[in-house]
Amino acid sequence: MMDFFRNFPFFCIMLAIVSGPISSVLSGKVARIVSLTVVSICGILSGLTLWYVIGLDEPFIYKMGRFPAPFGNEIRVGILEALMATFFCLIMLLSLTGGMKYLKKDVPEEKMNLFFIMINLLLASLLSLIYTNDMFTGYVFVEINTIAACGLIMIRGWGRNILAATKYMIMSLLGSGLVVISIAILYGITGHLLMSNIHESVLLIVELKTYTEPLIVAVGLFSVGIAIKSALFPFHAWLPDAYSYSTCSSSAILSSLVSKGYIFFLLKFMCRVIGFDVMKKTGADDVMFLFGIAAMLIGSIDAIQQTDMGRMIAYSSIAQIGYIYMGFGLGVEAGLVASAFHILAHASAKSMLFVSANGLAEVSGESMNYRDLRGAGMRNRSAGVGFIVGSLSMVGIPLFAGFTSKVYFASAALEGVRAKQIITLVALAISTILNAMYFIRMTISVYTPEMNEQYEDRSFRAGALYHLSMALFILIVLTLGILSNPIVDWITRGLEQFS
Amino acid sequence: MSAYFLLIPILLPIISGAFMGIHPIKQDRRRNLFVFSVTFLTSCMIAALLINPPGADDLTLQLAGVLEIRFRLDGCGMIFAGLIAFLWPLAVIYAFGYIERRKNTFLTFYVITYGVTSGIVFAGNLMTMYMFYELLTIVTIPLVMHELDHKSVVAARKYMKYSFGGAAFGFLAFIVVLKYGNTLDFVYGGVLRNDAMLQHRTFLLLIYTIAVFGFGVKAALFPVHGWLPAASVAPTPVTALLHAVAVVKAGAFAIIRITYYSFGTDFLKGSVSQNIIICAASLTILYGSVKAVKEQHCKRRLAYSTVSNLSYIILAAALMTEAGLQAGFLHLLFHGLMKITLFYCMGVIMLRTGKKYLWEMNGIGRRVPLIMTIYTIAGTALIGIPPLCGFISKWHIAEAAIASDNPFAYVGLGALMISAFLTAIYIMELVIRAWFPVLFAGEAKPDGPMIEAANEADTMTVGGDDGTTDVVMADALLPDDDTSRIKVGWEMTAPLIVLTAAIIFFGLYSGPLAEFIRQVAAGIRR
Repeated sequence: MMDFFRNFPFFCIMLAIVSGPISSVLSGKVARIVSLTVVSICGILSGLTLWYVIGLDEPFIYKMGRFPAPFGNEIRVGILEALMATFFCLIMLLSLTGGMKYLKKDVPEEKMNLFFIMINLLLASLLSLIYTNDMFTGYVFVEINTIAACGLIMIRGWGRNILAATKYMIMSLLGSGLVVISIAILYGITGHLLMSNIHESVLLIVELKTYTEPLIVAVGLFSVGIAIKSALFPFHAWLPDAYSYSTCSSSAILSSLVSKGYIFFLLKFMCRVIGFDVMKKTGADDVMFLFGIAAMLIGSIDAIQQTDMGRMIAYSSIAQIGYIYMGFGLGVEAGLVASAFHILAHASAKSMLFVSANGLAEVSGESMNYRDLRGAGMRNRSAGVGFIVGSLSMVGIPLFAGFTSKVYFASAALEGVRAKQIITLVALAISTILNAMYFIRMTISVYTPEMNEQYEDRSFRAGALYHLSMALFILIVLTLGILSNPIVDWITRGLEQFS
Repeated sequence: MSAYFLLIPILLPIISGAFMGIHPIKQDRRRNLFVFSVTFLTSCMIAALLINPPGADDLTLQLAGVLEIRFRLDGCGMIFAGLIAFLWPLAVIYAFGYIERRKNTFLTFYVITYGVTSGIVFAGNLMTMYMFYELLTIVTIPLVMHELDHKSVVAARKYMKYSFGGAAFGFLAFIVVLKYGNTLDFVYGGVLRNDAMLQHRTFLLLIYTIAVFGFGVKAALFPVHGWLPAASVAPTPVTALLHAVAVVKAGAFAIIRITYYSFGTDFLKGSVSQNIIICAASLTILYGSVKAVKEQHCKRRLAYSTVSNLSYIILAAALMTEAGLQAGFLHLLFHGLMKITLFYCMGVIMLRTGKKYLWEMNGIGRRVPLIMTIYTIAGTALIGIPPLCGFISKWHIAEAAIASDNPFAYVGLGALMISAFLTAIYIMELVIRAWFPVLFAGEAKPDGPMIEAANEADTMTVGGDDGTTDVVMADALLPDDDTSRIKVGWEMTAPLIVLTAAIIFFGLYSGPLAEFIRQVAAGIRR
């Protein structure tokens, strides 16, 4: 009976893939129900998978159609994969329910089913990126992910959306190109596409010192490719437009999941394909560290200059992506744990911020300018609370998710070399100040009514679905902040299973 | 008593405050009764805990990884706990009389702040203290911007930036102790591991120095003091209780905690860090006093005086001797009493007459004789004239500075002496203007340039970012020859009389208290 659980990841992926094309012939309303159901089912199945793998000692490999590797396709399920899958489904569901109201407003009815096709495909590609054991399958789903994300950006149909989607498309395809070249080189020097097989050959290459240069090139190309796709500084130019002009659910999902899917793929590449020790020898970690630190600071400095809440949150994503790369670059296992945790912490807080920002804009004449937003927190209570919680998590106040990841980053940094220690600690402190400067300033604006004008209108009702999503978001952020022990344990065990 | 009782003073105000926030209480009487009973009960609980302290059984709650929330009441906490438990009910009564707009919101956060401050006091480890330290910033921001006008919002933003920034650097100390210490708990004498002290000496000292300046933000250490004078736009109950006692003392308390209970004086004594901090504190003492003498806005003058006096505490603590710590604690208590009294007097005058600047205060003593008498007593105490309590603490600081072998302590001693002189000037100027207006009768009415200068100072401190600075002076400058008595409600006079009694009492009879503090400072009483 228990072995039946092994089928769940595969079911999830197939369910998501199949529901995509089916949605194309459905009406928008039915497509919405189908999509929400699929996301929920995937979430439940992934949760069960997580529960199952926690009980196992090691990850299991599932061969599709029971063909062995070179012909069939494999997925590999460990604790970290299952945890990410569960979490991604949960965040996606909450982003959809939280943004449902705005979706109906932003997307014309006849296009509604298109939106949900994209959501289903995105879910399929995210789950595949998480689970796959095969580099080329990974690449295929990277592309599907890109296309789906493009669709999500331009579904609103404004000129600005189209422009943002075009920018995103160009940058993202450049990234995919680099990734595919890297995979080709790896295939060339190792003769394998399966992650575990490549890893064995890579160890051999390092030992024999034969194809060292191609290996370094492959590592470099892959890292840069993913860095472009996940908007690491200095490749972040596409991000603010893409996030801030799209509809609420799209921005929430794009910022919290799409880039994280790529980053998770990079994490697998680093740990499972190349191996963390080899990765350090190539010097890629130092490069990631430097760009991560730069992103942390520059993203925040850009965010401070924004007057538009949506763009401010978008720029803060750049900084947060910087944190994750900084953790990768620390060169210690603890840094990877911290980064993996930060993927969760940032995903939950950022999607919540986007949903609450839209809620606040709704009561401020659809404007996200901080002047129009004055007092919005009192008009839309749950959005206001959500924004406060999200901001505090971003700044890294104890009890909230962001603090936990900050502690893990800092203590991971102290295990590394001295130069990185000092740089990391100081950068963390400065970044905290910068975060506070824009997030708390915006929170203060949101709770300061216009000096002369008193808003007497309290008739606004956000809707039960919105309140519920917001409450769950807050719950997740607080859980990650207060009860993070089991989660960090799972991440640590999952990463051990990687190597 | 069981350690679980420690939760009551923390949670009771926070929960009651949250309740008020969600369900605003409409009638004034009911709300005041509710707030006062909550505050009073909390204070009673703290008093009970002080008399009958809980045993060694700690209260812990596991957070991420090795992070724990832990509550414990040790001697160091007892001192601060006693101070806030004494002052908060008085402050609440005063606030009833003072606040006129948005009372419910104000009292909500005022009560919550009590709980959060208790959290800092009862924190048994660095993690807990840091957590409540950050929360303290969050819950006091709404109080600073209570007026919701441009000035107070700008001040709140400034306060927020400084405070979060300081905490971010304080965080470094937290992480270093987490990594290189045996435990995060507060243990008298420090918790750093021996091997770490040898191997990473420079690194640890660097982080310690940064962290002291980080926590020093709340304690208004120069050059990170800027928020405090700006925050004096907040209503007087906030300026007095929070920006003269709870918040700023939390900063000093945090510095004492990391110095004596985390890094340890054995490790720090004689290091460059110690000298840097002594020098910074001495500089701040002088800077604060000089700025206070220069400042014409009465409340901001007191704020600068706070800047100066907080560094007395830091200077004493930075001597890193038992006598130094004792002196620091004494000044922490006594300065709290004196400064809250001064602020309250000034608050009454400002609220009832609308006068804010020094030159408007001529002859004010006739109009509010009781208030000005209290101001004179508290001011005299602050200067450090015997038999009042300011003398006791300053004497201890000077004595400790001489007794310590550190040559830099003499720098501090010099600063103390000059500052005492300056204190006399900035306190007595107002007292003389208030009681002897005759001396200033010939004084030219402040005219154009002077108003401009004052106005400029106004905008410089609180800085408008879109160019809209409200001119507050226009009506206050009208010739005001009204000499009638001003009625002051009992809500304001009663706390002031109690406070004055305390100032005189501790001046005359501080023996047992000083002995208790000495035991705490020597690590005898845990």
